[in-house]
Amino acid sequence: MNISIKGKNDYLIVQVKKTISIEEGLDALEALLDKMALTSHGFYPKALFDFDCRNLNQLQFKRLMKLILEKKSLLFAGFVESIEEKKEMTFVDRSIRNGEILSIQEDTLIHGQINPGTLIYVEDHLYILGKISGTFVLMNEHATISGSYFDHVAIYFKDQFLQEVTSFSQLNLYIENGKLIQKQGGKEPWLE
Amino acid sequence: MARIIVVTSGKGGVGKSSVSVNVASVLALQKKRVCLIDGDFGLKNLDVMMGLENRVLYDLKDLIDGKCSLEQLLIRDKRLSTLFLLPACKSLEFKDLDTQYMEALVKKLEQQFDYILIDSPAGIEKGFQYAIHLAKEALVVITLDASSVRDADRVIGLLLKAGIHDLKLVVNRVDQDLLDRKQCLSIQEALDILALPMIGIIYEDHSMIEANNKGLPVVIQQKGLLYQCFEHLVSRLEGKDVPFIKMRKKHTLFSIFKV
Repeated sequence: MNISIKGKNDYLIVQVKKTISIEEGLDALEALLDKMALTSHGFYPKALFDFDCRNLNQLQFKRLMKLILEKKSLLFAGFVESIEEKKEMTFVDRSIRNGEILSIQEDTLIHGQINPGTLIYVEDHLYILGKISGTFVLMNEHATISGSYFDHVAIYFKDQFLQEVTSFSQLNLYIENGKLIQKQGGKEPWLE
Repeated sequence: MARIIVVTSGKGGVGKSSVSVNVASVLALQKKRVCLIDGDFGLKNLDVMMGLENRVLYDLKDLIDGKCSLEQLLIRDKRLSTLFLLPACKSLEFKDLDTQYMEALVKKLEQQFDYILIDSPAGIEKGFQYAIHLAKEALVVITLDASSVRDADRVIGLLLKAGIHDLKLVVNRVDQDLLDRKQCLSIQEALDILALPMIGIIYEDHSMIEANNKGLPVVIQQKGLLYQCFEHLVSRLEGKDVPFIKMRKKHTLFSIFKV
């Protein structure tokens, strides 16, 4: 089957496979609507159409509308929008205190300060809203640290070492071509 | 029901025991029923500071062994009739202590007292863990030196981990001269790191050492700077809004002509 129908919440999702063209999909839809009686107790189901992120041109759209009006099997409810995959972020709502050892393995936002005497291993993006002290170890080339108040921070990456990193404005620390970089202000380089 | 407060610091020598004895004494002066537990098993010293050393007949081990009753174990203060000391003992080791037994004991004490203060030992080892296990609130005592603040920060982390979220800070042995000459951390610097509400500033005064040596809590006389400091601390502990005492600068001939 080049076309499938799924039910989701109060809608039917009519999905046209990306292996066929939109015209072929509309043909398949016409054949399907001829065969199927989708009305139930006089109510028409609402349908969302998914052409796998492809835009219909004017003619194709008109044909789809005509099909729906002629067949009178379902109501047009729109197209399924492609949803961007969102990345989860861990939120830490506390200060990290002396003696604590943290391992940051996913994107993390710390709403609190990092006190002297803490040791933090970073493997992903780390954003800190409070005052930052302590020692950080960047574990891979993907690891980054972003904050706006660094107070005598030590940063390690392999055999590289930044000592007494102090900044009262936005500072981004990241790895570029195997080198430990600190960049003041601006957009985070890893997002550009 | 009593408020169970552990007095702790992490670092030794910052004045946990002095703060415990004097806070307990001020509370007792206000007619509150107070039980002071010496949590420093193995190195007892609250009885010495309170001048009750010779009245320690039984200790916790005797209670555990059934040689005495709780009433016999508790020592009533010589001067303050509502202040009681539960002494530690040198012989008792932590492996002998049954946590459930101690919890039951504290529950019993909770019914009899308004406040139970536990003087925690220095360090973060078993004695400390044991002391914080029983408490619901904590007074974290610091002095204005970096190592004391760092240790307190560590201890605060452990207290939070143990589920004690009602934490208050006492800055002890504050030397105004050192502060003026910026030879120690400022109170604000310590507060910035520890991020806890401060309920007491206790100034450095040699009358404290003298009082501890005499076995007479410094607040007993109910006069002087230290009494005021502790009285205000206790008021804040009870939720009152009291201003912090500012030490007046002494103007000596030397300071006047100093360049």
